[in-house]
Amino acid sequence: MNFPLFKFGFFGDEVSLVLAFVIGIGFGFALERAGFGNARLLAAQFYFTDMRVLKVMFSAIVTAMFGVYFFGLFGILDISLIYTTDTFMLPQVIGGLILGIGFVIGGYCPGTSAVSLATGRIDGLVYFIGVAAGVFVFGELFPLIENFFVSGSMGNVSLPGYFNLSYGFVVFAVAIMALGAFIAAEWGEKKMAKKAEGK
Amino acid sequence: MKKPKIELILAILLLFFAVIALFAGDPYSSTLKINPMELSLNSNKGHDKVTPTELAELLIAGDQEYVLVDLRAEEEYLQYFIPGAINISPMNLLNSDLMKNQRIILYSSDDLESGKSWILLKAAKYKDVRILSGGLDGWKNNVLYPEIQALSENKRSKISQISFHFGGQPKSDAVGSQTVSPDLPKIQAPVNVPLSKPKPARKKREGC
Repeated sequence: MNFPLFKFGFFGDEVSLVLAFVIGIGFGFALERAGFGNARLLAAQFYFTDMRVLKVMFSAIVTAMFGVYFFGLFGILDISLIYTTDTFMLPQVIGGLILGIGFVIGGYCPGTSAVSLATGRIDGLVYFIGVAAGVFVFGELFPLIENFFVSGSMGNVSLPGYFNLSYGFVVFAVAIMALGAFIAAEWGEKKMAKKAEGK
Repeated sequence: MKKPKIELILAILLLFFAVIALFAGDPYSSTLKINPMELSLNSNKGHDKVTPTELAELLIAGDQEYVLVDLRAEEEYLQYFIPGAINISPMNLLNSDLMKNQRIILYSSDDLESGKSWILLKAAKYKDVRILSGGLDGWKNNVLYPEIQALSENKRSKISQISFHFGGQPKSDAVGSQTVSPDLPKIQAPVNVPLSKPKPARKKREGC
């Protein structure tokens, strides 16, 4: 067991911040290369004409899942030390909806707006300022919504724990789900392209 | 033949890993879970301790139902150990030959190290783990060199006998040296322990 390095004290807070910066740059670069700096491409996801957001995100999820699962299995990574957020069902559903609405309207999510800004787009800048303003307003209003924010706590739940399944089976199921989603996305894109031609 | 598309290769890889995962097992298997209720109940009921005198009586009775584990460093162990104790470092506890259904009695210099190891073993679902209360210091003060002046005549002779059995000496009997150095720097090896050539960890396997 050597990973996570930070939890095992291989480096301190300062180095971890530097590493976070480097990883963040890498993440942003990958997003930009996937075309996520372009609001039109991102918004196309919601009209099912370009499914790249789903494909990229699901690929990332499956890759990370395999990595965490198999490294954990081989004793390289101590999974119990990885931080996972607690589940608050209703507040998180509402929060997800708000983010989704913002995503459709603005064409970015917070991360991709930073990517867009880095490539020099004006709409990315506007969106980024909006995100910062939203964070500020949320922070100021937090005392008013705190009760709702922490309501319906379910503790730290995971799919295997909640449905009483084995971890291996959940990994398998998510992978199959991803494969199905990729096939469906390819098929849907062709359908939509034909429809557009027919017009 | 057409070159296989990258999508196809990736899909096959994905299926491959997914099927392996189905049979590979639980990545959390090395993680221990603590049940706070169980631990505190154990402490409340006193199921987590053995006093030095109780241990001495067990040893004299030749009770073989337990394993006595010395958690100190090997050098300290070689200098002196309670008869029958085996030496296991706290780091190797879970990889040792100790079995989960054995009665295990832990001791160290004091209660702290054995307390930590106790929690570790309980979390790993070892059934019956106890701490020698006071550790080796407790053993010295209560068994090897006990204070017997305040005791009744009956008890005094019993405690003295126990003390002599393990090669110790009750404190009231010692006129000079013992009272001067109450922390007893030199412990003579008990009669039944070969100090010159201490046997490396030997298990008691009977009764399992």
